[in-house]
Amino acid sequence: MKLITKINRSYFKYGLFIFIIADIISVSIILHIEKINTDEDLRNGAFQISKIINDHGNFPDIPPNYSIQTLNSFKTIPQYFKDTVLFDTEDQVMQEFREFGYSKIINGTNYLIIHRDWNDSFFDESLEITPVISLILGFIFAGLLLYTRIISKKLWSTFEKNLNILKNFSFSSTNRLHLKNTDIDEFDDLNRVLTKMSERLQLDYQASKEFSANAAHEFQTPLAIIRNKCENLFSKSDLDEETIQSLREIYTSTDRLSGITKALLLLAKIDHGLFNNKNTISFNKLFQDWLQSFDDILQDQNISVNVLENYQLKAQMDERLSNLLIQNLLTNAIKNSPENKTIQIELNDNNFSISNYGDTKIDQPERLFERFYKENKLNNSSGIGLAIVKKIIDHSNFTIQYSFNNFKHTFTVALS
Amino acid sequence: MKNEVLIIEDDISLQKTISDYLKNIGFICYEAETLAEGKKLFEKKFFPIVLLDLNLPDGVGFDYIPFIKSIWNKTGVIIISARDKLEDRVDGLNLGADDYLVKPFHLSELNARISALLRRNFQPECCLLKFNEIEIDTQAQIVKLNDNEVEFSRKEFDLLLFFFENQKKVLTKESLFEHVWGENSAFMDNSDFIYTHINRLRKKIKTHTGQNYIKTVHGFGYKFES
Repeated sequence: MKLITKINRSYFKYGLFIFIIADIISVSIILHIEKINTDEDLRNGAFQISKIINDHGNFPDIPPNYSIQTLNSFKTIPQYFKDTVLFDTEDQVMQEFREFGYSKIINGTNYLIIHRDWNDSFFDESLEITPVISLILGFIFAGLLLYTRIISKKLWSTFEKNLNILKNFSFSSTNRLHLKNTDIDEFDDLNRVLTKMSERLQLDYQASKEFSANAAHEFQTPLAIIRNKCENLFSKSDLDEETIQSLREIYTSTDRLSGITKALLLLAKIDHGLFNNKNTISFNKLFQDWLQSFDDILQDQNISVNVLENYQLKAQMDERLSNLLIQNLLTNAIKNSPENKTIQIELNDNNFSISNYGDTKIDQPERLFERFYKENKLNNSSGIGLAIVKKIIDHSNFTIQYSFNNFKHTFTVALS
Repeated sequence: MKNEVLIIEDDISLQKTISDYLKNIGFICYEAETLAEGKKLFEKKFFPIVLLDLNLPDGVGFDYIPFIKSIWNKTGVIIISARDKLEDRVDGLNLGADDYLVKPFHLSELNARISALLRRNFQPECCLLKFNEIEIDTQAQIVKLNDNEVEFSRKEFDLLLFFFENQKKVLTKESLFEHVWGENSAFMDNSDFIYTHINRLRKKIKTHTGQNYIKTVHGFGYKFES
């Protein structure tokens, strides 16, 4: 969620809370003031009545507002206020009233004078007040929203520019990171830290890349010697079984080591940008060529390949990398496909997929593309083929996805 | 004189291993550790094949290629280097090198490359190789078994030719695999595929000749012999 959205959201929550509180308080205050006023009016009205009775001798009984009763006794009823509910004959409903009453002896008669007025309920009152309050608070909130939007757009613009610079920054290039000055202390601080960190990382990155490339490179000559010495020994006819076994193990270990160093060198070379030629690659053609290469193997294992060419899929990428990519993916599919089954290849307008059958799903699919990760320890794979696939995918700005459905392992490569 | 090889390699151990191997299969080897030494030898004598390392104590092997080619254009130069930077390879081949082998290579692969180079440079008109009932036309890529043309896939053909060039030598599954699938396949996890190719090749030869020339050498690999 964007920071501005988050801020606005919390403003909104806060505003809602304030609105409810303000509404309740305003309504209560208004009701309270109104009640005091009403009581004052009722009292004055009632006193007025006693004056009129005194002057004119009587006062008409006007229900429900005025009720004048003559009492038989001379008992005094003190002044009182109370809330009451009466049947309003005019509206034919029960209504709430506020009443003021007291008894007074006028010209020898004891009168009970009651003066009533309609009592506004809290609900009625808030119905009137709430829209006004909402309107005012709504205006304040909308203004605040607009204002923060304008301000933050201005404040964040350089930050966003810098963010874009960071996003496009690559450690593999030798360019240094240059961030724009924001005139905001916090952001400038962050920029300084980021620049320093990136320089440090760039150095480390270069060093580690050079190390792996150099190390792998320096391994080659000694490896060549061990391997070739072994090969010279193989032709000797007077070797005993133990020597044969040892030689065999020395040889295969050397071979493995050689394969690993070659793979590491290849990965380092991709990083170093040695495979940055851009050719127009037709994946349809690439699959055709490689399937022909694998033809003997496919025939032998009785694996059929079903190629669904929905589109002519093309991309701009390094030709050698495209070959490595398809070779690796096809090798993986063929190696893992049971005999007598079908491998399905599908070429669409922006992606291609390769599926092969399998009985069990991968235990840790998220680790599938890690270097040297082996799902099955028994299987004599180096665990680097898919790491190379991933490297090529990342280098070419493609994405790859693995899924297992209906006993089918599927790799889907989407171009950009 | 077709079997003399000049090896210019500063790692003595590797130099000796290569020369032992080549001597063993009938080549005469001359060794040099530096470019200067190599030049001296080359001025005195013609070599049909020069194996050239790139990182040498007195310079980069590239500089030596025009010198060789200016004296005797037919000399085949094979660069043997741990440097596999693709520009190096292109540079080397542009300067006139005939082939490029990346260390660590298989000696059988080296032998196959030398044979191919010699065939190309010294007998371009004759491209027929024969072994008992098997005949290979390397140019037209046709294989005849008992005088019958038999269809071979690209990989089977490469494999058969490799066996032809390394007759009576033990070839490991790894070297066969790398020859057929290319050096980048070493880590592709498909080395088991080579069994398929060998079995198919064996079957074809056996069907048409009744012979099994591809023998299994216990513990090591295969050997092509009658």
